Amino acid sequence: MNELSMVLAVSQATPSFDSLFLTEFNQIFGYVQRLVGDLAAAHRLTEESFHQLARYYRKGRKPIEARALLYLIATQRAREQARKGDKRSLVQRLFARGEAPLVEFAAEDTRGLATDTSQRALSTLEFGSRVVLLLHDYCGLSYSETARAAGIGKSAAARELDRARHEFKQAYDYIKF
Amino acid sequence: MVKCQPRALTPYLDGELSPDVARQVEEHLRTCPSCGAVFDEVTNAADRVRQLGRAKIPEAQLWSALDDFKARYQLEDGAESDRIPPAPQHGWPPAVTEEAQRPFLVRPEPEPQQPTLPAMGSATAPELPLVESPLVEDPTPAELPAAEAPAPAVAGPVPDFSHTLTPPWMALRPEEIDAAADEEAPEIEAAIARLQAEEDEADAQATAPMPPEELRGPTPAPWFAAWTPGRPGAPEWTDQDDATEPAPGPVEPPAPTAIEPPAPSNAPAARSDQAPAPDDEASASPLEHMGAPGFQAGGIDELPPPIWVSEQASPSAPSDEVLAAVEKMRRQLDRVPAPTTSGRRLWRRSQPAAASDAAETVPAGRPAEDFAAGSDVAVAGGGRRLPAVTPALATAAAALRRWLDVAADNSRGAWTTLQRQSRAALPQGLFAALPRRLPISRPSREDEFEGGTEGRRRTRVPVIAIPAAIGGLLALGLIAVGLFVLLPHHPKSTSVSHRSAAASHASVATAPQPAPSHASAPTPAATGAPSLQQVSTAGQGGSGYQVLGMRAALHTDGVYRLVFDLQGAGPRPTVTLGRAADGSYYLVAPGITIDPAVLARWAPGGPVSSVAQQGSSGLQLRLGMTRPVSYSLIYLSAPTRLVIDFGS
Repeated sequence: MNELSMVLAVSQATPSFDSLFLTEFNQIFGYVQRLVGDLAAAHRLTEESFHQLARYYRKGRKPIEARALLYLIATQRAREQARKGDKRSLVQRLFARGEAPLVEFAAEDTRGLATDTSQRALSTLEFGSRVVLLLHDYCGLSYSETARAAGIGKSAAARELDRARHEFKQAYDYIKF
Repeated sequence: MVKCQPRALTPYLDGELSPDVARQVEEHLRTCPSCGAVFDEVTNAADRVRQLGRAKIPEAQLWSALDDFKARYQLEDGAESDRIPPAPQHGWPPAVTEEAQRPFLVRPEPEPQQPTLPAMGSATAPELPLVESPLVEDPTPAELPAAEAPAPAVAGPVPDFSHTLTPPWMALRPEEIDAAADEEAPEIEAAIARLQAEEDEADAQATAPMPPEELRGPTPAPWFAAWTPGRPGAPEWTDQDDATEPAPGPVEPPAPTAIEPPAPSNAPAARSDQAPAPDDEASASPLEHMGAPGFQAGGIDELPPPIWVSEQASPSAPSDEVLAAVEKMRRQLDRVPAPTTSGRRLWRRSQPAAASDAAETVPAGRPAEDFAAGSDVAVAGGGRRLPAVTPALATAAAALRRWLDVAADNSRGAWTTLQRQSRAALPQGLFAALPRRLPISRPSREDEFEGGTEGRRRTRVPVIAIPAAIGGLLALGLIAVGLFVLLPHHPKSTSVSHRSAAASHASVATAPQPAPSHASAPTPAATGAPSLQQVSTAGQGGSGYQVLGMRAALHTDGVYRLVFDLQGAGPRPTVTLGRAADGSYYLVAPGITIDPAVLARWAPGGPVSSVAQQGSSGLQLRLGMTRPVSYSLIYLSAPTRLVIDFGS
């Protein structure tokens, strides 16, 4: 066992909810905002994702591949938001709880999420291509984690990433003109 | 690698290829300029995505929110679990130790608050914290024997008098208490005799050597040290009240008020009366004779604690009257039916004597009532035992058995009679026999992310939860269907709009259009679809858009781009572009209007030689071309633009 394998073994240990929340909240927030394009909706979806993730940590349990699980939850919620918008189902309208957000931030904290040319180019992509491109290049997930979080296979994730990069480049050139 | 494999460029960029394949791709990139251009494009796209802006919420905000999360879901503190695991036997390498053994998830220190001056009128005395004393319920009759166990004390077994407090319900049924006491007079007498024997035995044990200092508990008060029999210097004393004790016989049970807790001011006097008087100083206080400091002067600090304080049991043996009252009260509580308050029973009904004996053999942790009066039923598969079969269940079972027998006999008259009887017996019996605990459970299927290094864990869900959940879901489904039928919802309107959009789109292709200015250049609408070739369409059937400006330029790779800057909202209008037989191109968009001035300001260029508006409604442009070219049509957003690319 060399040093690299030891470091990798340490880094692959299942993180706790505390470390995930502190290290990934900004990343998830930016990821969801890039997916849905709405800051308020991204804030709500991000907190809902961590609420759902916290249920996996109750009673001293730990999920396997917690980081990929967190991104999977966020992706599912962002997909629902992109598909239905702010429309809520009947069950949600009847039983959803209106809770105040737990994370507070100022306007300058999210200045980096302002819409720019790259964001416009991202909005022209399909949702699946956007997810894979953001998960790998924006969030820094590996191929296996990207595939796990996107709900597809590893080879399919590689193909989707290649296609997404080409489409993003074309759309970026269109918009930049 | 000889053959171009553009799909391998992305994994090569991300380092996902094996070393051999990566080496081949690298060699190929040196010799193939087209693959090199594609690789640069992929690299550029990846870099641009990596450079996207991110949120930077301060860590202090996240820590406060994390506390709320952990409090809501009762999560464990995970800061320590993320530390590096214990080092192996040979130790971690230096690189790992330096980087990984640093503290992880360190909460930032809160900023020190500036001292503030107290408000006016508040700088008098510090506020004392409010201490809430826990509410202790009165002991039930079933709990009384357990509470009666004497606590280990220095001077011998001293009963706990905490249960001698008169509960409020005692005043509710005094006549029943008296009646039960009269019936139990012989038992009370025997109990008194037994307690007297225990008292004598306790006195004999009091003369035993003292335990070590560390086992004696807190230092007793001076009066207690002087009064404890058997200690050096303590006077010998005898219970002189024995002479005045009534002879054995029927004992008139005292009234319940006789065991009322005395007032604190009377407690010392009562204790001094019970204490023996040494020799000829019977009239003097025994504590005064023993030289208890401060007692004679009336110092309240040295007074013995009242007997109703359960935390500090009196070191002296209780008097016979008190013991008799306690025993009598215990018997009475066993006899008196449990009073109810607004239909709710205050405690469980006591069991008969045989049942009580059986309950003493019940293992710890199991309610004794489950084993009382009846046989237990072992549940197959559950491993646990149902509560005892009640007489009501036996009645119900007998009724059911008779019901089935009659059904087999097919006797009409008896069937009707017994059916009526069983209807009256079954519900009561079955409802009374329902178990109070659900004995059977089955594992539930968990999410694939659940588990851990030790394997998947199984949670056990009661069986009753499954049909209850199904029933709940069915009820919710019925409610949802009903509400969806009654309330207006969006899908219908959406489908209607889609139909209208399709209809409008069809009208674009079939509606008659005004004749073009040139007879040899028919409009696509007038001549129909066959008159156009290479038709390209974009948009979703919207309307209300207006052309703000037109611009065109030669883009990369010889592409001539014509851009219409649009203003409007909603779905984008449907745009159709096709090539007519005479070589001209027609751009038709009924949902877009254009000002002739805007069209006049635009100068043709590239392959477009002329542009003319056909008709008065919508956008109907005839584009004269210098040569046949390929083209594409696309909408861009933010701001909305219609882009036409003419290729070579």
